[in-house]
Formats: sequence, structure tokens, C-alpha cells
Amino acid sequence: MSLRCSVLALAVLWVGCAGPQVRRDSLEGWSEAETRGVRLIADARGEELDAIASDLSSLHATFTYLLGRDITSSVPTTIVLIRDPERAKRFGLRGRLGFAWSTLEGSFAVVSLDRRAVQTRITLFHEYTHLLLWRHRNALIARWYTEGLADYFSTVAFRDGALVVGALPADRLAWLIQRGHPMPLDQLFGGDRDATLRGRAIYDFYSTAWALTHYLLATPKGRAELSRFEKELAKGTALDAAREAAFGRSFERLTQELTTHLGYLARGAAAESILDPRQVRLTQPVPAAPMHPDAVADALGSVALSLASEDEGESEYAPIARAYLEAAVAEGAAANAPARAALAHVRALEGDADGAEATLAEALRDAPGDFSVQLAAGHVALARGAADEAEAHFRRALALDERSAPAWFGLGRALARAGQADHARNALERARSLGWSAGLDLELGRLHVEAHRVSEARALLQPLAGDPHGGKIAEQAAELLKQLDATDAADPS
Amino acid sequence: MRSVRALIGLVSLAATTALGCALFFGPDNTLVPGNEGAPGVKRFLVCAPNTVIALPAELVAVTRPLRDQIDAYLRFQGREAQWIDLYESRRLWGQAMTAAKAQGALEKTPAFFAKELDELYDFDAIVMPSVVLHKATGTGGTARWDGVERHMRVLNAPRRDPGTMTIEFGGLDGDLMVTSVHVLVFSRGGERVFEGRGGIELIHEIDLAAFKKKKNLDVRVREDLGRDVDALREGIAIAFDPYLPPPEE
Repeated sequence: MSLRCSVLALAVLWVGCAGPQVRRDSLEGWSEAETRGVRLIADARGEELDAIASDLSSLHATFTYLLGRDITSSVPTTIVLIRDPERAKRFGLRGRLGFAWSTLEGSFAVVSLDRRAVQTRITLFHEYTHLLLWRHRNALIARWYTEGLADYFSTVAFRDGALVVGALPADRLAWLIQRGHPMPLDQLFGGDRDATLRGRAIYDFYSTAWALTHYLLATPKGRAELSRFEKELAKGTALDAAREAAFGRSFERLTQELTTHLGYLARGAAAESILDPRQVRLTQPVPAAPMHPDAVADALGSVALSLASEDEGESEYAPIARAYLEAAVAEGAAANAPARAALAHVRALEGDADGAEATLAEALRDAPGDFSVQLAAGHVALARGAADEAEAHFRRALALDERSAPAWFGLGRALARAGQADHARNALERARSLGWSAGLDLELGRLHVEAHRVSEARALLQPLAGDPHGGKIAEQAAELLKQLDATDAADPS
Repeated sequence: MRSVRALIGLVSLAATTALGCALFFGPDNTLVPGNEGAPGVKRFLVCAPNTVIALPAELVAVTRPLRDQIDAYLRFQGREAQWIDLYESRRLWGQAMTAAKAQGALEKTPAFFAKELDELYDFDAIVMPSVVLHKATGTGGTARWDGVERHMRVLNAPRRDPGTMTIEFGGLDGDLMVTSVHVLVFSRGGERVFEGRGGIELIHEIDLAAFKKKKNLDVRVREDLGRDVDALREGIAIAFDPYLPPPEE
């Protein structure tokens, strides 16, 4: 081996000609573990990840105990824990310690691996609670509700011979005490992005969502009220009517109660629930195992691809996905057709049609009967506007897995692009019977708008547009609603 | 998303002071006369840490060393210590509160609690220890509270070149977040005979790694909270004084 080759082999492997580069040494030292159907991937050694997996398993067991049943997932769940601050930023951890998202193909979370194990656990529990809440849903869950519950369960802990649920997150309580009052509740429930996500409002929003959830979950009456209120809002009841139906009192009165509750907490009242740990059936996770660099690259690339696909169109995550998937293929996953198909998908998202086709051709040649290859082939065809070809690939995918929500979703999109609106709607409805995603509701809502089915369109689009955290999907839903309003104004009949 | 938590380093210093303000600016240790040295008390029944006082989730790892060191301190004092786990102690405390409320006399809760415990355990006195989070006034990074003095740890301080005039970072002034041990001792009949506190440690440390470039002070929560055994031992000894006088040295 020449000196130059040795240096290349021993030092770093730079992959990709543009965008972020993946150093080979950054793919070393990773571990993976599995617990309760959740795949944990961490920039950590086995012992550290074992402790994290054990914590997560205990949270899952706590949920199972509290609900009286297990919450299983129909899609794979992957959680990535990242220690390196620069990598964390690339994966969206700027100014936040974690976030979660759920698609038809899988559930994901990215969590910062903090210096303090307790902080990592709190963040992990927060994000995992989101993922659990999103399982088996068939509509958008109000953001204040899911954030409040996620904070509430983020502090679950086994300590001193008890299971403690609802312990105080000191920063949330401290924020509210410093502010002197919670966020007005009508703003919490119905505020737009500016009212809930700008400047100090974001801290008011999260802290008040936690405090209200903490207050209401403390009593059976409060739990019933909270549940009723959320259900009323989910079925489209107007805010004031939902309040009256659930609480039977004004927001001012509820705010007074909440302020009193916060006063007790500020004085150190132990308001958490202490449960008998013997009632909770804990299971030991599978021990963590070291990961090969190509598996790390493949996993990180797939997670970034999921983020890029969620964004639709230009995404900051697409170059990251490409860099990692290219590294995966270069590192030894070349024999892995799904990895190459995923790489083709991300190249298509970036507008590199030729690169996508070339990579996809190899994957299709090696594994034409692979479900994920056919699915990716459908996405690649859709990205370059070949609706008929996309339809064929999605139908092949469905022939391999007839109950695949993403394949039905893809088919629906392909049919819609081909102008077959009725067939497209049927396919999307089928996808919706098998899973849920905001993107799916947006696509279906768009078809309803085009067919001027006003009530169906509004039912799907209004929750999406009203989600202050909804990003591009919320913006597109709002745009479609505007179109609907304009059409209504022009033709009131 | 958990954006608020990202601020814990800088914001909590200012924000959580309000929490401390409302919390424990308690009295000096108070002892019912005649109980100096815990006469006649051989067997302590000790409740799990923070049975009746909230423990912030961020401090959950502190209770194990607290328990170990209180156990060691009581034995050092020549006493026996029997512990009740958190589930049991909270359950029994809850029952005692219900019974006291039924009589319209909430202040009798400890008496009912002691009575319930007496039916289950052999003991001479009950100890209820807690870790409490509050604020203390700091000057130049040094704070004094509940009988201790601690200096805020500074990491990555810029090196001073010999022979050059530089201004040394002196530490933070203002309200600093700190922890203390709080103990309540009840007689076998449920009479409160002692209440005391002893300081443990500062919650934050300062990292000056980014100071030279960005003039940025990173005030962050310490990684090793609860692991400074010497600080914990000192706090426990102060918290129990004069009920259990600390050793000469």
C-alpha cells in the first residue's frame, strides 16, 4: 500500500463533493440497543447506552401500568442520541435538546447526549412520550396537550423504593414564578405562531402547558376535564364551547386555580404521584452492541432522509442524508440495496435526477423484490414527475406489503399527479386507515379543495394550519384554506 | 421540542432564584430544650428523602448519596438507623393527613404519622430528611448559607501570562442556586423536637472556554451534583446540630 493510500485509510474518509462531509472516525464508537421495539443509536459506549435503554424501558413499563395496556407501534421507532455538538446542530438540535417526529414509515427522535445523565433522561422521556402519544392517532394532537403531557412524564423516575410520576421540572416552575403568571389560557389553546412561539412566549407556552397538565392530572376530576377538553377540540368544537363542556367555568377561574397550584409548588409542596414500583413490570433491554461504521452511516442517513422527506422540496437535511448514505455505501453497505435505494431517493430530493437514476438502477437490479427498494423507486419517479412510473413502483411495493401506509400514500400521490383524483383519494383514504401523518392529511385536503368538498377539506386542513409548530405543512394548509375562502367568497352558493 | 430546557444554564440562574425566594429562607436550627444530644434515642426510623418536600427532577440522583451519608452519620453517632422506602412513607403520611383532616386538625398529622409507624416499627425517634433547592447571595462567586461557604467552580479560566497586566475573573455576584439538607425530627409520639438545615453545594459552575472569543460566560448546571461526599457530610453534620452535635473535628 502506498503512503498516500495508508494516510487515506488511516486518517479520515471524506465523502461527498458538496455539503457536509462525514469523517470516518466520527462513525466509530457508536452503539445500538433495542428495548420495547425501540432502536436506540448513540454516540456512546455500551455501558452508557445500557443505562439509557434501561431508563426508557422503565418509562414504557410505567405507561403500560398507568394505561393498563401496552402501546405497541405499527411502525419502527428509532431514537438517535448525539453527543458531538456540531453533529447535533446538523440534526436540528439548535437551541433545543431534542425533538421527535412521526411519519407513515417510522417514528423518530433526536436527543442530545448531555454531560448529565439526568438531563439526557428527561429529554429522552419527553420525546418518547410524544412518540407514544402519536401512536394509533388518526388526527393531529393539539400542541399544548402533547407538550404538557411530554413534560409531565419527562420526570418519571424510580427512586428510594417508589415510582415517582409528575416530579417538578425546576426550570419550568422557575420560569413561571419569575414571570409571575401563566400564559393566558385562551392564548395557550388558540394562539397562533406569533403568540406562542416568539421570544418569551415560547417559554410561557411550554411552562404553562406543563403547569396546566400537572394541575389537572393531580385529581380524577381534573383528568376527566383535561381528556374531555382535548377530545372536544379534536372533533372541531369551538374553543369557548369546548371549555364550557369540559370545565364548566371560565378561563379566568381556571387561571386562578392554576396560579394557586403554582403557589403550592413554589413553596415546596410535594405534589408528585408516588406509586408502588412492584406494580410495574420491568423488562431488561437487550444489551447494547457496538456498531460498524457503515451501519452508523446508514442509520444516520436514514434519519436525515426522513427529516428531508418531511420537509418536501428543498431541505437542509437532504445534503446531510446524502453525505451519510454515500458514506454508508462507501463503507461497505454497497451490497445493501435498500441503502442505495435510500441514497437514490435523497439524490432525487436534491434534484440530481441522473445520480438518482443511476443509483436506483443498481438497487433495482440487485433487489427488485425488496419492498423498500420499490418504495424508494416510486419516490424517485415522483420527484422527476414520472407519475405513471411511480404508480407502477408503488403498486409493486403494495404487492409485497398490501398493508403498507407509505405505499398507499405514494400511490395516492402518483395518481393525483396523473389526474386520477377519485382513485387518488381512495388510495389516500386507504393509507389513512393504516396510519397517520400531517403530510397525508395535507395531500388529502388538497384533493378535497380541488373537488370543492368544503367541509371535508376544512376538517383536514384546519388542525394542520392551526398548529403553531407545523412548519411548511401548516403554511401549505393555511394557503389551501385561503383558496377555499376565496372560492367561497366568489361563489357563495 | 424542548427549547426551554436549552436555557437551563443561563436562564435558570436568574429565573430559579424566584423559586428560592419563595422557598426556604428558613430559621436557624430549632431544638426543643432538653433534646440536645438526642438523649435516650438509640433507634432512628428514617423516612425516604423528600417524603413531604418536593424534589426537583434534576436533583433526583442526589437522594441516594444523601441516604448513604445520613445512614453513616447516624451510625457514627452511635445510633441505629432503619429506613422506610418512599412509597411506604408517603402512603403512611397520606393516611395520617387524612386522619388529621377528619378531625379538623391538620397540625396533628405528625402525631397520626408517628402512631401509624409505631404499629409497624420499633423506634425512638423519626427523621424526615430532604434535599432543598434555594438561592443564596453570592459575591465574587462565593456564597455563604446554612453554615457553609462555597466558591463557584470556574472551568477553562484564561491563563495569565507572567509579567502581563490582566484582569482576573472574580466570579459572579448576585443570587446563586444552592442546595441544603433539611431535617425534621419527631419524637416517638409525633412531637417535633428538632428542625435543622445545612448547606451542601452550588448548583452551577462557570465555563470560560468561549469567553476569549465571544465574551460569553457559560453558567451551567454541574455534572457532579451530589457526588461531593465531603460537602454532603458537612451539610448533614450542620443540619443535625445541636440535636446530634458534630464531632470535634
